[in-house]
Amino acid sequence: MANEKQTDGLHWVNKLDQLDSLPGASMPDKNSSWERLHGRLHEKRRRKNHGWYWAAACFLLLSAWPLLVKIKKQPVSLQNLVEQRQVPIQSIPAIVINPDMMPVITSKPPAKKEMAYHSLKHTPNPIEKNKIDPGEGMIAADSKADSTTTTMSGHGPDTAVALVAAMPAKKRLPVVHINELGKQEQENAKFASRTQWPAFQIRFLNQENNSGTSTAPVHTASDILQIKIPLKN
Amino acid sequence: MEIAKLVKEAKQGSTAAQKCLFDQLSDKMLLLCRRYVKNREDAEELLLDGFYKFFKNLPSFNYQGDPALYAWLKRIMVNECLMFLRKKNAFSMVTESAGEEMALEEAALNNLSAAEIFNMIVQLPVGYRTVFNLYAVEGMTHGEIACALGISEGTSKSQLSKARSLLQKMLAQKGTEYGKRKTN
Repeated sequence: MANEKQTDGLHWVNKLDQLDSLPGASMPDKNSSWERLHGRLHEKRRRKNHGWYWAAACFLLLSAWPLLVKIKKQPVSLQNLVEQRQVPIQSIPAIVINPDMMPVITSKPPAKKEMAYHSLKHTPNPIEKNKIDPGEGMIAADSKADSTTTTMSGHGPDTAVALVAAMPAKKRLPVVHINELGKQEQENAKFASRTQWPAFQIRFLNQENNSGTSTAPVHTASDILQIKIPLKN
Repeated sequence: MEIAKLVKEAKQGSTAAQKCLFDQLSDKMLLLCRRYVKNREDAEELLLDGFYKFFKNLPSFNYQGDPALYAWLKRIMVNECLMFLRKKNAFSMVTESAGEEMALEEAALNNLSAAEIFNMIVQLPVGYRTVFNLYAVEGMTHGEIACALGISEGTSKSQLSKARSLLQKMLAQKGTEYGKRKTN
């Protein structure tokens, strides 16, 4: 705006400035435009009436306040929720494990294990080669580490290896291969004769079963999935 | 009624005085808005927005004569128009270089009537028109224009040059031989 010099002497700018209206370019309806403008100018006064809405909102908040406080005072815990939602025991089905459905123990390793054996078989170590017995399968493969350490301990005065060798050997756990069918009668007899078989009792919602170990007559949802595993070694 | 008296009463909240001011100034301001915004409805809406700000801020305005009042109101309207154009992202500056540029001898415009000048300016593309209005009519510098429109000074200069060239072509088409051919 300060640069008035460039318009000095330019008559056309003054002409344009003094132009009040063009024919056909004036406002068609000044009154309606003024009404719109007047409405906008006094819109703020109308907005003051919105205080009623605020008052109503405050009233609702105050009336709902005791309820909100009551809800807030009650401690919400998982135990409370569980107690509130007690499920009748009859509605949950019982799961009974049939001993006949237990897996059958076989001595033959599965095909996957045989592949592991083959990979061991092709190892170039001649010492280990003699230790692996194809008939033993994974048992032989498991015993590989022990036999290797024993063999290595005799090779030189390596104290670390000697210490490892002096450590008591790990108790070998029986390897059970499932999904293999053996001789049915033999295996059944073997299974029946095994008195120290770990007893699995899966009880849902303290349901009474044959063992009679359940003593809790009140059934709640918190007792869901109790697994008792009495193991005797 | 005198403008000074109307302003005084409008400051005190007189709706009648406000309406009188609006009636007296609205046509002139509508023309100003239409120099920036081609669409008539948009220009009318901008006029109302400008008058709304004018009346809202009138109590804080220190009246020092009619020219000052006009200048203030003009400034409000121009700002409204620029805000509108910026919102519409209308400043798609035409950058293609014309094959030949013609320098406008602005004195040639003196021989035209105000309505003819107005119509020629309105026919310019929005970028040219805005820069030409701000520079040649409102008297702003290229720096001020660059700040107001968010463009560089170079762009402002080139837009003004192209606007002048286009106006010169229009003048040539009108049969007025006031243009002077410039060879680059």
